[in-house]
Amino acid sequence: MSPQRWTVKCTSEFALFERFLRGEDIRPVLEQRATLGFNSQRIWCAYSIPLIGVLNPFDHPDYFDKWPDLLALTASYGLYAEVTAFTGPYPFFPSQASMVAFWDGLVTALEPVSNLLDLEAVNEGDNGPNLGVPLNLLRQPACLSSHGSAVQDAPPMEPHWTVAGYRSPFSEWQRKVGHNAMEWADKWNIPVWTNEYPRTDNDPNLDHWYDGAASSALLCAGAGCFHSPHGKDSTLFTGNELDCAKAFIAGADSVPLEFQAGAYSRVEPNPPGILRIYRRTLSDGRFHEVRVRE
Amino acid sequence: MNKLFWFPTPIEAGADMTLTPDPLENGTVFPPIPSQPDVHSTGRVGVSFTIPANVPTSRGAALLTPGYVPETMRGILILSGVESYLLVDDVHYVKKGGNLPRLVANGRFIAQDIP
Repeated sequence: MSPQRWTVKCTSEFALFERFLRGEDIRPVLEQRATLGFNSQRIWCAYSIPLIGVLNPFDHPDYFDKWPDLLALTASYGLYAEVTAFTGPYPFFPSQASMVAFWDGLVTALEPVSNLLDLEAVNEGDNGPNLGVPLNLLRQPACLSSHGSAVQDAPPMEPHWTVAGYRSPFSEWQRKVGHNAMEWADKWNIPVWTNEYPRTDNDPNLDHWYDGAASSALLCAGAGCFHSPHGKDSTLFTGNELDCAKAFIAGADSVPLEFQAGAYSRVEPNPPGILRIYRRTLSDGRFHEVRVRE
Repeated sequence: MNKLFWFPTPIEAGADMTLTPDPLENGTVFPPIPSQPDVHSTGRVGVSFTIPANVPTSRGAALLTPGYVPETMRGILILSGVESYLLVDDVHYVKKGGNLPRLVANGRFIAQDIP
């Protein structure tokens, strides 16, 4: 086997499995995401949340059998999946034992699937509505996995497993999605990326989407996870959201991944209009830098 | 030059459509051809695509309609005969399914484990 560098170019796709279970045609969505240049989707497993929908796993006797079917379909579009097991509130799980059993079912269903990016235990695990998942009782899968993300700018849920998802604060997010994720990666020596950006309706500035993805692709394990209203309900991107997605991918693709191996430095001073200049320099002296705009 | 007409419903979906002929085996790549508002000789309102003379007939092509479903339609572009047309349901086009390389941790980054 020979490892080939790969960066996370993910989009939130929370309701995709729910739509798939309902028998809806999700292929136009997959085609749009793949055509735009995304290589992965963040898909949720169980939830009851306005604007996203309701997915009660116990309504579907074939729930676990359908996961490999969904990922076979997404693989045909060249897409990997970050699968997030829990996000609160938890009306479908009467006990922590039921959560552990659910996790075991997911691990069994997904471990053999080759296009799994990672299995994430909980979304923003220390956020009030999401509390209550017995992380200490969940077995670590053989695939890439994490205990989950935390609230904005908090350490990802610990103890870490093989990867981790970071959540940046909104202030200067276009530089923190990459830089702050890198700091956790350096601390733990595991791949870390921001697995939920601010939503496009909260910041429609295309430059921010380009710069956030570019600096992240240079500094940490992924350009990160693009987040938008139609990523929540897994329907087609339109309007400014579509333009932001294109900017995100263009930024991610602007970075040659060989420079991930370079030494990190920050170039100063910052010219007017520039928040930070991030650089990685290879041992042969070549470097790549990203200028993150205000 | 050949002209291909298309009559989308709703008609406004035609505003940003593009038609992209598939690349040729010799490496020739065709840029997307933008739609333009047009009226067919029958009087029907639609859009048309002006296809360069170097695009051969009976090859695959993709019709992109941003923001509408299906966003991409594939077909075979027929340029010979009385009128050009796009034969959709391109049964020659399939996607490789199922097996992407596994992802592995590579220090602080991620790699595909290529066999």
